[in-house]
Amino acid sequence: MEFKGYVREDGSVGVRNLYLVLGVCDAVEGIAHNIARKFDDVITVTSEHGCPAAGNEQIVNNMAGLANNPNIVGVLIIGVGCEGVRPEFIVEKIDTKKPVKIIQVVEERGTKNAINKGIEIINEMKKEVGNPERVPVDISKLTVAVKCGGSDTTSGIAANTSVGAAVDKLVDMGATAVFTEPIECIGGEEELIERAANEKVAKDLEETIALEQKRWTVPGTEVEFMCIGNVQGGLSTIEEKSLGAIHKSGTRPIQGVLEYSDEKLERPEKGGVYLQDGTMLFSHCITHLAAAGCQLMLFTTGIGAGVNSQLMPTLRVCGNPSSFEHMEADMDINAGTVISEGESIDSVGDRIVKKLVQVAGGEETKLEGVGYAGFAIYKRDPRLEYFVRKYL
Amino acid sequence: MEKKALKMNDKDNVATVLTDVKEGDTVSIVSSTGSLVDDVIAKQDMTFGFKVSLEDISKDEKIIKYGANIGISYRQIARGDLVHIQNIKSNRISIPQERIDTMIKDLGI
Repeated sequence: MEFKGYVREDGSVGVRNLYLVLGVCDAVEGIAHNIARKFDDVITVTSEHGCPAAGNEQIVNNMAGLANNPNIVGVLIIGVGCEGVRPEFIVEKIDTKKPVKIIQVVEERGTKNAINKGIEIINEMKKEVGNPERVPVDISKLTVAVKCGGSDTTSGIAANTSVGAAVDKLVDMGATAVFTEPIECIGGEEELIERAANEKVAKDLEETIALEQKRWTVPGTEVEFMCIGNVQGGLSTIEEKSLGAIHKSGTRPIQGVLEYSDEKLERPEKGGVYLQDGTMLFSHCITHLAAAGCQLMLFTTGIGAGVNSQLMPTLRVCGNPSSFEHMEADMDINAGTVISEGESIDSVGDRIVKKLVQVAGGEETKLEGVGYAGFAIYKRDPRLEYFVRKYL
Repeated sequence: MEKKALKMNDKDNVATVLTDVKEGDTVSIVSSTGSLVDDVIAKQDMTFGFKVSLEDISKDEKIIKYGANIGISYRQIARGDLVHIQNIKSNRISIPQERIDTMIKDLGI
């Protein structure tokens, strides 16, 4: 199976051509937005983590990961000039060929100058990048992110199972799928470990999920793992939610747990299914998945909750027939037909793969260009990490 | 309209209702391949997506869905009862009782 994509110099394949403005500290967020809004293909990601002198490795890893994403064709990094996240640290970790420029606000002598300089740089990059052409590419060049949100009981029955069927088909053709949210693996460990490709993966799965459970048993955190919508939608326990959720990763062997640490934000190396050691927080999760190299996202929902990514075109798969009818304008795939019409999960899976190939080739999703979740950088609090490892 | 509930796996002792159900309704229990496997009389009103018990379940017993353990009962449950936070809880991370009580009140269960 093939799709039409943009082949980059390093052999990776993009499905869109986007420019990335990275703001290394909150102070420059406004500047980044003022540059981006002059264009319709410029994305901004600003770190909200302040300017500590050190301990910024995860921020750097996320930002470099985003810069390396094959959908990004040019990168502009903006700093004030005094922060701990030095633009050079990010540049060091950009290992793909594309124009990368840096602006320092103090050096530019102020905000308005920095904005004008930024706009000038993006225009220059556009001239340099030109109009790449799409060519037929094997589907094994796709890395698809898989995420769920606004889950109710239809998620485990229709949406996630159908996406799982689609993931099986994609992976059988050599593509890669990345799921995340280790919190939603709690209760599903046995099933996941059984799918581990080897002993090391089994151990990594066990340890990753066990550590995540520890983070959520710190007193006061128990309230955070099931949203009220989940319970109103019929989900009674985290185990029930997790078992429903992991269906979206399909049934094929899990090739690895993608490491997330100060040392690295791991990208999958070969085809197959991977669990990213990440988070369920929407904006943080989108950033993290994109930073691991995912070009597109399959997003499942029951309630109709949404998350849309600017960087990864997002296909929304709704498993609740009423929600689909209510919000059809937002949904790309109706998986609720499994419940309302008895359509087979395999058949919905086929529809998902077909649509994915079209979207990869340039067809816009229902919400492409509309209503993005903002980016955020998932940074683990070192105080919690220390406490959880030492005392729990 | 036919009232149906989906039993995901042979080993399950609960099924998920696919329509709103009223107390006294006969609910057809179908397997994931679509075949009718049981018939249960609902002992309470239930909203689409909620679970109905397929067996009499004592206190401290495992609740099985997807063929796996999804929680434990903290009350006696009769065949045909609604199964949700008012009678089952997680084995792994429990929602604080105060929160459960508020949600039970809000859901009216």
